[in-house]
Amino acid sequence: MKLVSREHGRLVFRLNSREYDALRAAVALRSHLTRRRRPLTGDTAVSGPLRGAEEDLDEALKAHRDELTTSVDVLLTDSVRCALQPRGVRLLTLDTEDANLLLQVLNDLRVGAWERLGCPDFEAGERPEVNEGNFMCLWAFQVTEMFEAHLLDGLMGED
Amino acid sequence: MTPVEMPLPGTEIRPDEASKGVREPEYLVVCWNDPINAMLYVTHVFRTVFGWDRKKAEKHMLEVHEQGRSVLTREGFEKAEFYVHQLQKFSLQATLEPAGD
Repeated sequence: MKLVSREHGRLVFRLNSREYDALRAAVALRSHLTRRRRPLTGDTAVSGPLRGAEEDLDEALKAHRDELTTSVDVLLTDSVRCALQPRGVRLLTLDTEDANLLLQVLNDLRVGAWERLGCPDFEAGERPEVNEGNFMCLWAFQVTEMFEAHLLDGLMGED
Repeated sequence: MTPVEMPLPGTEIRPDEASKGVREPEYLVVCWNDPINAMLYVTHVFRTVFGWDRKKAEKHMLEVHEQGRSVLTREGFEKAEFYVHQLQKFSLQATLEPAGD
């Protein structure tokens, strides 16, 4: 994945066919990499109106996750925004909103894979052993990290 | 025309509160450190959600990284809840807590 141009808030990336296939495969893993419940407050004994708000957050995040998956599927199969070039190359054109959608999906996948791996602290040197049960999570973790880095590069270079 | 502030449906305003102008309780939006989200990513999310410039976003990102948490803003409940939702949509660990005084 390579940033080809950045003009007027539009980012254009070039993906070869393997990169495109990997991106699609990673996005397709979303239904298998569900996320842990995330609290609204740091307080474990939530009561009263906050309990309702906690449930609202849960529902909002689930609905948002579904919407994101659909939007990104549409984006990656759109013949204009993800135009097919000779030799299977794709030119992915993203405005800031699309880039943020894709970034959210990739990070959600990355965090979902990390949670499934038992939340290892990679910075502290923790490395999960690769086995049949987790190799897909390790793959998703690495692949999404790579795409995320390219997207962030493009987005942060906007200033 | 001046907009008139209407109470939410189901909200009961006691006359004594209305006349004293009782302030809505405030909440802190807190972002917590985690070992998964990259510093560059966190900075980008703060800028996107709050519209901050890079310097301010980096200051809060470093607070999260070095002190374990950063108070990002202080708001009434609905706005604080909105910000927590936005931050969690980007998979950051954000919570709200009563501001106290």
